[in-house]
Amino acid sequence: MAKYDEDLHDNPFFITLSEKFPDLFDLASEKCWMICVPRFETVLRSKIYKQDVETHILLPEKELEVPDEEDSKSKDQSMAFVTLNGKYLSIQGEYIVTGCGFKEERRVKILFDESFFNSKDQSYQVLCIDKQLEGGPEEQPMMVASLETLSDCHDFLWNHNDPACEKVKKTVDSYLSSLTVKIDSTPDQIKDIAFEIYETALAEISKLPHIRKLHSGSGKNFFALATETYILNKIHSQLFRLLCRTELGDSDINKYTRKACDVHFADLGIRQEYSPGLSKAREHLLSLNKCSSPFEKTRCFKQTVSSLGAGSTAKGLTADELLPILVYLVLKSEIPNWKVNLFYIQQFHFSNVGSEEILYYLTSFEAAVEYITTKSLENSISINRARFYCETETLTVTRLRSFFDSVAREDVESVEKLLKLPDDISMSLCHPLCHCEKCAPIVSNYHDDPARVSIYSRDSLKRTGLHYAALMGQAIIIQRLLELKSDIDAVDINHHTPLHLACLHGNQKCVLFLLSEGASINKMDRGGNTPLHLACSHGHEECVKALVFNKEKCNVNHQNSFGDTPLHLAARWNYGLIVPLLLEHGAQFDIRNKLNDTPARASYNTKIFVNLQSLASNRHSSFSAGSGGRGGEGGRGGGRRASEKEETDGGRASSSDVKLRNSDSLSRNPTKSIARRRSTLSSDAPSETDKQLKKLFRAIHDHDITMVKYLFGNQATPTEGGGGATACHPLCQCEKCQKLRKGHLVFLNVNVRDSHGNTPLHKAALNGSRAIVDYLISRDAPKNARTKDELLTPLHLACQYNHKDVVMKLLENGADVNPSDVRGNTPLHFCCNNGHMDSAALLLIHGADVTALNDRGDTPLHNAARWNHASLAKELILYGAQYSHRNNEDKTPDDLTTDEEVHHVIKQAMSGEISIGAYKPLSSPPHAGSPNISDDDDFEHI
Amino acid sequence: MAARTGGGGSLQVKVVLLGEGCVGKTSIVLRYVQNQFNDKHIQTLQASFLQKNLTINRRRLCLNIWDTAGQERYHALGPIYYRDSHAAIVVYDITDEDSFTKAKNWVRELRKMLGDSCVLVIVGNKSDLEKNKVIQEKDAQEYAASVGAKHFYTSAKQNKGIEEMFLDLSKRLLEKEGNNSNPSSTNPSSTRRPGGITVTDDSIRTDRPSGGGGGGGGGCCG
Repeated sequence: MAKYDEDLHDNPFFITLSEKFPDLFDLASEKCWMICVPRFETVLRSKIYKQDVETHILLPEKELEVPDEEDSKSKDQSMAFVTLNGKYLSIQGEYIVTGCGFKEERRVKILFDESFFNSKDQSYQVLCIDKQLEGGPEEQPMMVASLETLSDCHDFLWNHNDPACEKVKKTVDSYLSSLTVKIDSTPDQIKDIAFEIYETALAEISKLPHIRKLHSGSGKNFFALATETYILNKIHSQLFRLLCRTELGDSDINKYTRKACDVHFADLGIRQEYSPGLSKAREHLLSLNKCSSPFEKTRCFKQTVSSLGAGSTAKGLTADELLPILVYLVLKSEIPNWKVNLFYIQQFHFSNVGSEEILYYLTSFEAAVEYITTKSLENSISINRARFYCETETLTVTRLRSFFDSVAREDVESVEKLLKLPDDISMSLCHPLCHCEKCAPIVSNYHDDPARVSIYSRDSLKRTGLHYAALMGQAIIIQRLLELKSDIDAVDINHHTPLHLACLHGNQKCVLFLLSEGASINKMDRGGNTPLHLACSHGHEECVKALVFNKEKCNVNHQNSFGDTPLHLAARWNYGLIVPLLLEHGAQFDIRNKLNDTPARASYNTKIFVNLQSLASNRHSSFSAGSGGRGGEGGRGGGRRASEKEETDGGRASSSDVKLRNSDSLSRNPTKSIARRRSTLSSDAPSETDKQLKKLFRAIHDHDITMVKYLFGNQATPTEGGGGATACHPLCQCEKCQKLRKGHLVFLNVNVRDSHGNTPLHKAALNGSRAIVDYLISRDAPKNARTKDELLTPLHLACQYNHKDVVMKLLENGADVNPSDVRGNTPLHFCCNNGHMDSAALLLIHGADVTALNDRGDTPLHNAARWNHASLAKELILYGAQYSHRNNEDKTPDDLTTDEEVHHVIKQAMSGEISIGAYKPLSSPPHAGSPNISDDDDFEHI
Repeated sequence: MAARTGGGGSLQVKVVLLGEGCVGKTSIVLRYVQNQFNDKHIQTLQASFLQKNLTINRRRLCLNIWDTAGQERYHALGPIYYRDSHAAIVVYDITDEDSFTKAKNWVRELRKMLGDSCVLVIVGNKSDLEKNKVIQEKDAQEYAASVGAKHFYTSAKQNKGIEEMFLDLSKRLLEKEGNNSNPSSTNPSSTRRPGGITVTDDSIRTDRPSGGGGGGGGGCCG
């Protein structure tokens, strides 16, 4: 990228040649011979003699043979030359290799070549080479020929075993780590800050002796470029995130790229021969966001482009071919922040070194991104969409095409005509439904006609008419086709149902209609994507609304084959409106995809990142503190989340030492506003939400399920009030409906919490309202949520108050049976304290741990004995409880009890009258030893 | 807009190649830049951005040659490519009337967007197909003169006219930058002028032997 360069007119060798030996120089230039010039530092002016000069003038070896083929030069791997004083050498690629006549064999690198012109305007070549072909000083001064990678830059600046280096490096690094950027800075402000740092670092590093020694222009250039690359690498993760926040228009671009991401390379006019290189190139391009400086990013572009040529035999990639390929790569790359990347490369390339090349790549990609937003791409995509014909034009295909065409045009009449028995046939029947001997063959002939179009007809993509109707957004046609009993869940070649396609193309009306007609909402395509995934990744907010509105059925936390949930996708593609929508409807923010990224880490948008991150760290601080890594969510997330916090504190690139104070404090110290943040994240009116929350808890207390449902937005109109006008549609956004709904717009979600961290499910479990518990669970309320300080789960509360049907319901729905609260008590401990036999029995059947210890070292049996619950003690022993276990005070259960019956029970156990462990749980504890069932495992993946 | 001075005091100029697809833009530039030692590299790399170092009259010049996509559907992206360029080479195919019309469109657009600051060359390529020529030399020359451009005939196939065209372009670029000549290229310590060429526009020869690509050691010595 940055290559060695010098002005040959200042080169001592060249000066000697042209001044001391003008006759030789003139001869060489008249004859257009090639001249080699060793680079500046390697030549001592006083020691250049005639023979040295003659050695560096090269004549083509076959000078006398006139080359008659026009392409004589290109075939040979190497080119042979003879020097003016009769020595032989050859040029092999970038090297000159000396041969016969030289004292020793040398491989000398060609640094660059330059065309000079003689008096007849004929050009001759001057090569700048790494050292003299023969002789020259023994000691070669250190030289970096080019900077190619980040580590090159690093070596260039620091790698000199020099204490001065270490010192300067420390100064620069400490300066870098003191960086503060306001979180709401504009891109220009961010750039100014970075530039200031760059200049300071430049001044600091230029004090180093080995940098001061640099003489040539290119040395200085290397220094500037290396410095820029070094500092940007250090501060990139902060700056870049902030830039991503500034909305340079990426979410718009993303909508375009998502819309067109199914484009086929042939649609863009890319030749088949490039297709092998495309996937390789795409791989290279994917590392773009891992590159930290304009230098590296350009290098990534360069590799991308050069890997394209590798597979082809073409002479070179011309711009005519390159641009469509870049468009294709941009569409397929899944990079969600093109604008920011291009801005960064352009604006943060402070050193301006090698900028011509950088500018070229920048411009090419800019053009590709620009092209994506133009009409002409859309045209090629729509060609792609309409590609429902097969290769050969048969009668079937023609009819099929006219069928699909009419579907796409919403031409109901012709659709019906095509699907109906043709008039001439139906006229010849006795009765349209007749099956008499005469009529039956006519009808069956018609049905056997291979060219007949029906609701079952499929094209080469295996799409039915219903698919195309959904794709083109033709609700009326959908209605007609469904009336004719089209298969609503038919899948095409990609396993897309009509609902998938409607979501993919943002046809909300069709989505709603298909859903109301019973389309399966959680079907997966080949990539494991549900319709919700597609709506999220394509930024169709209105479709997302339509889907999550059917909350009971819609699985918002489904993971596709990359492990991405819809929330991952919405976060990645920067859709600031969809993220809160999903969270509101029970999306979990801590599911990890296969790259081990949470949705927060999948996002490049700081706004989304901070929102999600604060949710995650809230949860972290409230649950893992003191839970000792045990129990449901605390145990699952505790350690991991802590490490994640460290990672995010240091930014995406963990190598960075820099702390960005603002975002840091946001992610580190959010506990104070937990409750508020949690309930307000998705709403603009915190007080409204709080009010609603109060109402909700009162309703739960009153067992008022109708009110509860209403507050969750399950019913469009509440049972009382709200009379008179009704909304056009539950999701309608028209003015009238907006107003109508205003008072009730803030719907709660099942994840809301009060200031103690109680979820609705906690309250319902406490109150023992089975109906409400049922309802909440059906809405995917987190079953193992914990309160803030006590770390109680709903199961704890239900056990404490012996609401056995609630206990049952919770256990059946995947609630963890052995969570321990802040004092280590499991629900079983709670039951034993209070002598709740019914609940305890349920727990035991579901595999409750009879050996669980709380902070005092008590087993449940200790508790049962202490509180004199004999029958419970017996039950525990039958399930394997140890009567001899000693707690922290060195007491056995027997020591604690004051009840004769309990003594009796323990005696019986000792004598074997009661056999210990006679009863077994229904099933062994589902996840013994491993993290317990957690919310996201509840879903049965289809 | 002024050309930048690069590392070794070399003047960095941006040259865009414009013209309809298949008029041979890329072949022209490949012919020009290819020579004995970078031949192989270019084949594995791409041909849409190429650099060439020149020293003319002791002044260093680095041509950064940008190829552009010529297809109609990318026409709207033109300004992204040619903004800030110092020179433009508009290529047409002498056997294709339509390509000449397109070339005229490009020229009009360039003049509109870049004003007169840009050195303009109009090139009729495929001069080896003289017998199929449909664009008359007189028309082309007149048109070029009317827009302040130079007109050249080239044949990428036979490697004719290309060096001359670029040399002329380079000289005009240097002339333009002449007044603000950079100090690093005038070195008082040396007195001899290598090559010793004079800047005269009609010193261009059009019938060079078709030898080595870059005109280096390939046998182009007269």
